[in-house]
Amino acid sequence: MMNEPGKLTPIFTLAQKSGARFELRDGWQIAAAFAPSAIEQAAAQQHVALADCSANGKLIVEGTQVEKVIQALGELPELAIGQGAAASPHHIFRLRQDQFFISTPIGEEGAVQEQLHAAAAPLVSLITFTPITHGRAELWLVGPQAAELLSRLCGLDFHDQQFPNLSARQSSVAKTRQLILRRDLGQLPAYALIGGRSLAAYLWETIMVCGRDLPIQPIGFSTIEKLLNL
Amino acid sequence: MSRRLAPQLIEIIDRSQTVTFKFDGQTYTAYPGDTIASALAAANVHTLSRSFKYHRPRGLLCCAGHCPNCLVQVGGEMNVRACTEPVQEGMTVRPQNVWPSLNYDLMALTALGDRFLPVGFYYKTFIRPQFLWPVYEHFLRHAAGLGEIKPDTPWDQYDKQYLHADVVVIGGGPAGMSAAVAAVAQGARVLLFDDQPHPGGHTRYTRVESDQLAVIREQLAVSSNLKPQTWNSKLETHFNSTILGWWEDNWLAGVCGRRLYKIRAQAVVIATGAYEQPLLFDNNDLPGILLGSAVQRLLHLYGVAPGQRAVVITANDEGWQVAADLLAAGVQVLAVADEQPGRENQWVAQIAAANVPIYWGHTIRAATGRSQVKGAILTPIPVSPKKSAQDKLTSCDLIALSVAWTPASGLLYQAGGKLAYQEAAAEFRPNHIPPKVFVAGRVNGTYNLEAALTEGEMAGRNAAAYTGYGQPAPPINLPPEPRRSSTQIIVPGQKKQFLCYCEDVTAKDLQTAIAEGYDSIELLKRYSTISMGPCQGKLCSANTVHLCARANEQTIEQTGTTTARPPMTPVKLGVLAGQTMEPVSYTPIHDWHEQNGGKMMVAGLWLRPEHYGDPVAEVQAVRQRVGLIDVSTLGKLRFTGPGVPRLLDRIYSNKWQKLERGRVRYGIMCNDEGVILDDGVTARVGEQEWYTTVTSSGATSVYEYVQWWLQSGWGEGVHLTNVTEGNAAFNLAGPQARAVLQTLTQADVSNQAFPYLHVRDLTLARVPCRVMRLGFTGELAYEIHCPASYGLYLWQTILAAGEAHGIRPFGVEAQRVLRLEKAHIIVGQDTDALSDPIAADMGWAVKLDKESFLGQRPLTRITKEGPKQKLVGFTMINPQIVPDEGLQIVRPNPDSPLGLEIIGWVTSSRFSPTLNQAIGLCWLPVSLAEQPGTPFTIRMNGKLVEACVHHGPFYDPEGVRLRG
Repeated sequence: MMNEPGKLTPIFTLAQKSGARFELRDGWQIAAAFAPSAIEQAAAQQHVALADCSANGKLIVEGTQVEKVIQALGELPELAIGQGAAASPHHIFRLRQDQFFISTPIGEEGAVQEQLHAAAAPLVSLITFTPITHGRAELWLVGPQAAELLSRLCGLDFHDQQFPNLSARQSSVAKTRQLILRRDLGQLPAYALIGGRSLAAYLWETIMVCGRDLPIQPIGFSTIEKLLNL
Repeated sequence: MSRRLAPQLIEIIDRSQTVTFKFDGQTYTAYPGDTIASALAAANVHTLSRSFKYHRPRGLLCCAGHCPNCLVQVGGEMNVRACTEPVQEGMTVRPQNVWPSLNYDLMALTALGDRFLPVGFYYKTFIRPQFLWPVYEHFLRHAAGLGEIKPDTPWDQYDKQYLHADVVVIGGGPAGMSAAVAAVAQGARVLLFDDQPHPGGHTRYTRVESDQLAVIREQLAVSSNLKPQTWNSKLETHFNSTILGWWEDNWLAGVCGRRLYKIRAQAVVIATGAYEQPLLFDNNDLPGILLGSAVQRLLHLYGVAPGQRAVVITANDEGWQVAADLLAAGVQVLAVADEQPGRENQWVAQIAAANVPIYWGHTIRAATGRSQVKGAILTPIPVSPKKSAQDKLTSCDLIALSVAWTPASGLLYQAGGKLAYQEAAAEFRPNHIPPKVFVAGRVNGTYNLEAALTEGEMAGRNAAAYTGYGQPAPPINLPPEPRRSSTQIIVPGQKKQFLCYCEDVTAKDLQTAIAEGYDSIELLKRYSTISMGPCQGKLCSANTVHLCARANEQTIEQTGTTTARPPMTPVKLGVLAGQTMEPVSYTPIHDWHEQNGGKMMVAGLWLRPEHYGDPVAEVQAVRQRVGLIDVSTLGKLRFTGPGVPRLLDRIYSNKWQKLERGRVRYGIMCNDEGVILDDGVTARVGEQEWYTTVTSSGATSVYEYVQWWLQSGWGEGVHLTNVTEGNAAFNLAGPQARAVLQTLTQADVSNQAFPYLHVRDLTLARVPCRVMRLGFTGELAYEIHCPASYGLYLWQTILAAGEAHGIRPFGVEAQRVLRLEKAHIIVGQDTDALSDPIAADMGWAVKLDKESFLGQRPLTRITKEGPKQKLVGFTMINPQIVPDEGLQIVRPNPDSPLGLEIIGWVTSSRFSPTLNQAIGLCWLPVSLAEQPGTPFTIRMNGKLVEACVHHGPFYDPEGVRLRG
């Protein structure tokens, strides 16, 4: 039993069984590595890798005047539905005309919410903030074969023309509802699958089986951070 | 004796290595690149399997994966086409449909009684006497079918892949390659599919070449030199991949090994080529009779001579090329018979110069031999019905047939294309091409290589232009083509002439069927099963049409063709199924449940602990001390905005406008027919924030139902979010629940500070929680909701805190007993698609006097008229008898079957350890339900048991415990 309130991602047990090394970040037990860093990086750069990034902050903001609120995070281009933008260190995606999804680094969603809340205060119309960090898992598929693997699980067209970097689509992945975000790590294609927490373990295992021939390698959060900074 | 030739220019085998495999118990050596059939042909093995009905020996015929002649069993996999399956080290191959062995098959004796086994005999022979059918069936099932299913065969991994393109080109021959290159050049994204391992189509084995083709090959290689897995290439090539079918809007299905492709294309180029056709003559199925293209494949791709002494029967230039190729390979060509009176081409002179006898205006009457070809009887055209003095017997071990072609038009038909018979070509040709579809090459009747390349380029450009890339190609006239197909495909004879190799249907069978009245081509197909076997009509459809036309004295055009349906080739069920994907939802506590003896049960997508070994003890723990259950599966909705009370008033049957902040209320959700959809509690947690729980199974459907109303005009001032997954939830229940809760928080949780049906946001063990005081179990109880990621920590912390109070986790089974003791309903179990709250004895939760709500009108009517049935509790006269849920409640009625009339049914029943008696809920007619103690009868396992009506909760009817 844990003595301190510990936050566990839905992949915690699977990662533990796979021999992952864990780190504590903002109360989260996160799988930092599954294999030596060089192996994980090579897998992501040459084939495809799967990472559990469920601890990333996730926030839904909704309302008819939501666009004004979002501007509090920085100068953002006008986003069409399905388009995203970086507002470093956060990423913002427009899901509907009146709804945005915000991805933050671990533990920063609270501060973002406060910032947006302040921006929403003067507005008359209803703005709703829903933190979904705990309710949604976030699995990342990274690497040149990530799209190939996704095409075995999802009917969307993952070609660059149709699904460019910083875009969002909602679809079925392995028969589960997922919000799919394209968030390349430098030149490396990367897709975040954001879906129900309860289905995440199933999805993780299904992806690992589906990508066996590529081959797929589970990687830790540390490798994702390294790839982000390459 | 090996039939392997010296290395060939374009062979695809690797002679630097060898592999060994077994066929019919014998070990054979092959080269990597060989197919099973080519390796066996090199080893001089003629017979690969036995035919379906008559168990006749069958050998290679098409060598292209089209016919059924070489179906073999490879390990546990049956019906593998030996002519396309690459041979692998250690492979065990067995012939199919043989008993007891390939060379001595006793089932071949069926041929002796063939006159009793005409086509359709099974419709007529085994129907009388009816009582013997099980005997017939036993033997028929043993005799029918191909191959052997081994139930212990290990699972293979199958999967599916979705592919998208502007243009999909089907066929990697000259026309297809040209189309793909042209479409890519105009900027389109192109997928090219071909069922062969390499591009080139017929040019791979006919060795025809041109400068233009060389350029296109090079361009194709450059365009697709990115590996297939490189996602963003403009051209992706998929070889060894067969397109199985075409569906609306260019939705295609394809198969490659164990993978199913689902392909969406804006435009499709069909360049599927043509199938070489056999000829109908006596004994035309003997091993040693090969199509000309099969001979060329064996010679050039695998370096195998299919025989030593060959006779070539032809009606086109290709046959002469086959003869020349055989000569060049060192095979003795004993005769060439051409149905034409003369012909000019480069090969005729070669053949003549080699002193090969040439029979102009001749065809073959019969093949001789029993288990393989021993000779060919050639006869002049027109063929006399009976043997003629002009017939010539030529001893040989190989008969090569190059007599006819038919376009591979199945996909074109499926796409809505139409074909018409052209007398001049003696072939069908497309005469209507649907939009979004383009056609090129042999399927369009264009055989000439240069013309096919040009036509392919035009199709590719037009397809790309259709999808918005570049301009369409200007129309050009292609040179006329000489006729390649015989008009003499049926030779009169006395012996078996096989039309359908799959099902052993002979020309005589078909004539008999037509004489019986099955004279339309579609009816004939259904009656005879012709074209319904593994070849899917590739080698029999065209000849069937010819024969049908002749028998009916109609033209080919009048006779028409059969419908082409997917799949184009047989496909494994595993491929259609793909990877097993059965989503499972796990609560944050799932692993703890499993590790602590939880017996998991399936509840929708969720896995929940049914119990931890002793559900009775779990019930007692809750009644006497304290228990903890994981209810994270509950649906959880968050409503925000000023419009929420009005919305809740509309979707629930009770009132919400005056619910104060910090209060919780139970509600029933009905549809507009007054039928109960769901139930749950709603807490007002802020001035404009409400938190609702719905049933586990209703989480998604209720969310979507409410969303529908929000988007249909009731959404003003309301935002709705499904937060089911975001919160773990536990129910801490029992007389000691408060004491346990108090150890986790400094907040005052006394009855005064935190009364029944109230909600508080508390910090429990440093975790932010929302706690509602509820009473589903009938005890003092707290429903604790916390962020899901803290779920396991909090669960373990509560259990640790409750240890001193004798806490015990309890599962779904104990919860069912506890709620039944309180006579609380479960929506979906105690209610069905007709149950309304009035009949369910929950009229107290329906407020007809409020403004307007879903179901108001029918519920007003039901209240006024009174329900016909009611949901009530019951106890058993014998308290130890627990009737199963779903049992019928009956009363005597002599007019009903068994003398019993069904008047109700049991919805819930359990033995209550608290009350030491069986209890339950049931639906009864109002007349019986109204009076407590009224007896009624339940039919249980054919016997009648007595029960009596009970009103209200069985346990703590005043609700003292849950409010305490």
